Amino acid sequence: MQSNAVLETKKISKTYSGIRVLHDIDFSLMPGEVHALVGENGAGKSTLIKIIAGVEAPDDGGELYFQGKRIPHMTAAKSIHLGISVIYQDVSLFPNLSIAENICKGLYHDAFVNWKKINGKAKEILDEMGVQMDVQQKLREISIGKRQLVAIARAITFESKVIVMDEPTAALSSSEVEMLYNIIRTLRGKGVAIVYISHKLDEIFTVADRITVLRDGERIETAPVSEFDQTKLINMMVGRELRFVPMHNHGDTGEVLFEVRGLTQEPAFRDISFACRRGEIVGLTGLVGAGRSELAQAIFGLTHPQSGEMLLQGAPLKVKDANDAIRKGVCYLPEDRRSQGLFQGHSMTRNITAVTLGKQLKRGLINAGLELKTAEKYIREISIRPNLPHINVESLSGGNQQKALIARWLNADPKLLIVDEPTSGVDVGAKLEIHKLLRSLAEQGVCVILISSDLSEVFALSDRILVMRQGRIVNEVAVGEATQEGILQKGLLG
Amino acid sequence: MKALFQKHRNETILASIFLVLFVFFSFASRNFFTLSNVMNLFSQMVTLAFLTLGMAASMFSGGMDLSIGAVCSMCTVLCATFVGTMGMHTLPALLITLAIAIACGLFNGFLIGYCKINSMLVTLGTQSLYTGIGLVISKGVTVSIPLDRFALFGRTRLFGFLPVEILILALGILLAVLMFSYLIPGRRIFLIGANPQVARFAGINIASNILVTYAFCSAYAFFGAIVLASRVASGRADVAAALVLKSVSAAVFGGVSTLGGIGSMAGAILGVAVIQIVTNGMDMMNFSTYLQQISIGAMLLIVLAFRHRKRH
Amino acid sequence: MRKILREKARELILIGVIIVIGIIVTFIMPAFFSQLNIINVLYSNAVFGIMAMGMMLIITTGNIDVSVGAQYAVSGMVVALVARATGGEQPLLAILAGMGTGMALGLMNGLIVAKLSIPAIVVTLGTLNIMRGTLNLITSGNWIDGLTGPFAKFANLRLLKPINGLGVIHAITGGKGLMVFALPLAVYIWILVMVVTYIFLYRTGVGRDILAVGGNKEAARRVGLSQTKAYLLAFGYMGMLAGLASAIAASKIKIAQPSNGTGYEMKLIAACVIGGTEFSGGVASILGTLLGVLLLGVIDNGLVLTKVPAYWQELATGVIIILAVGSSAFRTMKPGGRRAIKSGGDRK
Repeated sequence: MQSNAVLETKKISKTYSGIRVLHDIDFSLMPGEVHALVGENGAGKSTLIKIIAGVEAPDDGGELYFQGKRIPHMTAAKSIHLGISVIYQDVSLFPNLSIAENICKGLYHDAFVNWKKINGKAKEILDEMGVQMDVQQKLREISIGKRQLVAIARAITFESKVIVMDEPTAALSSSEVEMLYNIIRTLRGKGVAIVYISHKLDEIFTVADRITVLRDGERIETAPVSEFDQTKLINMMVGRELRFVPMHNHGDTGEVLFEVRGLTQEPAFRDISFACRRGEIVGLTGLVGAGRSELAQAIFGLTHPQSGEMLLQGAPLKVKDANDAIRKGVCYLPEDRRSQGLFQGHSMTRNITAVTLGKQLKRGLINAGLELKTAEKYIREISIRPNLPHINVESLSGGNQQKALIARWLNADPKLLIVDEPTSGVDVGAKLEIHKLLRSLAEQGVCVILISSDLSEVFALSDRILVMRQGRIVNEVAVGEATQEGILQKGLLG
Repeated sequence: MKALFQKHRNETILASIFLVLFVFFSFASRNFFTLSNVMNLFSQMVTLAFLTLGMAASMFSGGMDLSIGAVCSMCTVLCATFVGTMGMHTLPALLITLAIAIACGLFNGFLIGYCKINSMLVTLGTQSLYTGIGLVISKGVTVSIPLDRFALFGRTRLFGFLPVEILILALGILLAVLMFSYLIPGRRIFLIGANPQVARFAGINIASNILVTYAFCSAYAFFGAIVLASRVASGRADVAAALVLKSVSAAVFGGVSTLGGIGSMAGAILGVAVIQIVTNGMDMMNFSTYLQQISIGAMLLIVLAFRHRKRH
Repeated sequence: MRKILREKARELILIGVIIVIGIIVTFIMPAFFSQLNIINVLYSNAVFGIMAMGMMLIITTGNIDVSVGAQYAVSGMVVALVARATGGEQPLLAILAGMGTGMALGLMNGLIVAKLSIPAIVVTLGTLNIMRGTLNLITSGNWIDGLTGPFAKFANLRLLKPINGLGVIHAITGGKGLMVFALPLAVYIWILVMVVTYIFLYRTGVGRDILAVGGNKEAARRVGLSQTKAYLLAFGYMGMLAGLASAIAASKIKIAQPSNGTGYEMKLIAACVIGGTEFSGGVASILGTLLGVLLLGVIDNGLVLTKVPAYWQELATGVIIILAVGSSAFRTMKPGGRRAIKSGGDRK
């Protein structure tokens, strides 16, 4: 099958600390096509991109071809040299240099900089793209959306044959999006192959020629865009089967424990109202960027909403800051373990007791024995492995790191626990354990709000589902009445 | 026992180095292992030790307090002026000086914690500011203290052999260990140093804890200052300036990370002790002070290179 | 015009502050605003000004060098040795020897920082002790004096004569002539160093690469720029300038001491910070650094002339540094300021 594909992968797999995140992926990219890569969070899109860009090495057995030639060991430098450009949000540019320099860095190797040449070249490329910019302006002075365009200009300057765009419209204004579409069409006309990753399905139907759907690290389908409609695409993304054992509330749910009325924080979310009962798990779903995490952080006191009110057990709830929220029984397990959750370099014990230091006191002093007891209690109760309280939390697996973080909040005796993507980046076994844990928490009378992009998780666990889109709650259903497709169509697509 | 060793590996290694050097110098120099020299050894390190404890605190929080030497020097000037020039009683003079020192620390902490300015930038500026205040008060000269009024903290030996400053230092170490191993604010400062963003998501108030950190630094600079002022019976606005970089060396040597969140007060004090025993021991063996300086620099680099290699 | 105002706001403010201080001092002591005194300010700050260019470059790469004082002392001794051995007849040789020594020391720093990836402040703290200790050990703390010959004159050498043709100038300057171009050689060297630094940073490929590494290490790595090379260049340049500065100082005061340059690191860092160099790296301003040095120099000089005790100087320096870092922090904290943009792309 020596096709004329510019880039091809065969049986690419990737395993992170025992968890397989990509499974035998065959993927091909033709010159002059816009190939959309779709899938939910954790489907394996970014891992695949990292392998193509040479940032991560695939497991043994996978093969990578560029213009028909096998590349045994792809490295970041090699992929750039071959003409593969990945446009990350902000990471590959120099904020302190001018736009022109960012576009041309590494292009010329003159001993003395020829500013006329650099500025001229940058201007030429931008003109070609139909973008107006002062090329001598410093990059740090322009918006993130415009930086994205600079990164694309950079890829064009280096005559890239493959350009990967990862959520390119996330920070663009609508006129800039139009600009981007035009640029993509021009590039396609020149034979450049584009990998387009986006959560916004209407974008995909606008620009893509072909679509590859990934789910749980496997390739589900690759076909021309004409063979899809939105429903079919979504079905493929989320899958029809329930991957998780449903764990719903069997008894009656109790009285209303937590209520939000008209909470607004422009531009993240507006006019949010809902209530949750004791012992209930409320699923909060929606696409990335719908405002779910922002809402959670506002409830947790990290940010302050402009208007609206919250009630806990019928009494008005005012939180000054996160510490205040914790004291009042409102806890939040953040979305990003690495940058928001874990104190890296510190022991599992210290991570578990970080918010409940007041409970570790004996005669006013932090007592190592009490701390150890606390950690051991949770190690036992929610089976964190390995059973080493002093182990550096970095050396735990993803699932166990997450369990340690949940233990942190359990020890704070939450009344309301908001968990944000609690099972992202953990293996299937640990996912199931975390689900059981959340359910048993609910049975003990805690009100749990589950934020997740994984619909089958939301379905398996929630008693009620709230769907958010563009900062609003657009749909609320009891789990018995809902179907995944129904949620998706009514809620996510709009 | 083994677990204890594992947990306090760095401290154990430093303590072993200290003991090995101690035995070595005892054999190498006849004058080393005498009561008076051992007391000397400890009393010489008191001011540096206090500054290192303060420095370590700022490094735990992920910053660095370069103004610590200036605060210390300024405090010697204040003590000398209050007691010597103005003839104040010792106790109120000390209390006022302590209050001023803590105010300096709070000013640092305010700029770093609330205004979110890089700690090295802030303390570089306040270093000049506090030195300047000291200079202006002392008019740029050494202010002497009447010997009898201030002798307690650096010139008195209890029972004829035990210098009082060693007791003060012991108390200081105790308080520092208490603060950073057993009290909630100390633990929170470590967690902030490990990752301020994570700390925020764990409900830790960063600004107020940073304020506490830098107040602690300055308070320790004050304790270093009273011992120093008593030993030299005077105050001078640049008397402790050279100790700033030394205290960074000692803290780093003692296992405190410049990146924050890692280290211990015990390690920091052992870092000072090892540096001090090398200095004192080489003194006893009549090596030049210059050779001591070279060995300290080389030790610092070797230890760092070693720690770095282990990390990878 | 508005663009210049925005981009060079700090420099303009610094110029304003220097002028205000100048006016106040002149009011009290008219001698301040004489060409002799202005030249004196330039002459006495040339050593600092030269070294500040190197420090600026290092901070630009996101590092810091606290061993500059020691590099300055070591190369100063080498300069003095060579100058004395040649009877001061070979000033150029002595200068080159100093620059070479300084550069070697700087490269050593750069190599350790790059290869061991230990924070530069800690590395240079170690090398500071080693350099000073070794120097003192070899010299036993003795200084080298009695420098004579052309070497002892070069720093204050006036290559050009004052302009004194017209009667008007003669009258205004009290017969001394207009000395705009009749500056001491040290000042010309300082100017030359700034021009070279400017060309290096803004006109050469490697200079731009250094800035790029300072701006975003990860991106630089992806483009294939060498961090090691950038660090070596920056630290080597710093060392070389420390050597050059030490030669000028030795020529000025005709003596070299192993304890020379103690505490210089802080003053240099202060000048850079006042001038707008950012600790996070990637941002340098040659004009700003120059103004930082001049501001500190003018305060120094003004206090001397107005007979304010010298000990007020430190206080003034501190206030200025705090105002300088405070104002830039205030600017970045404003909504829509730099920090707001910076954090925008972090969500991933």
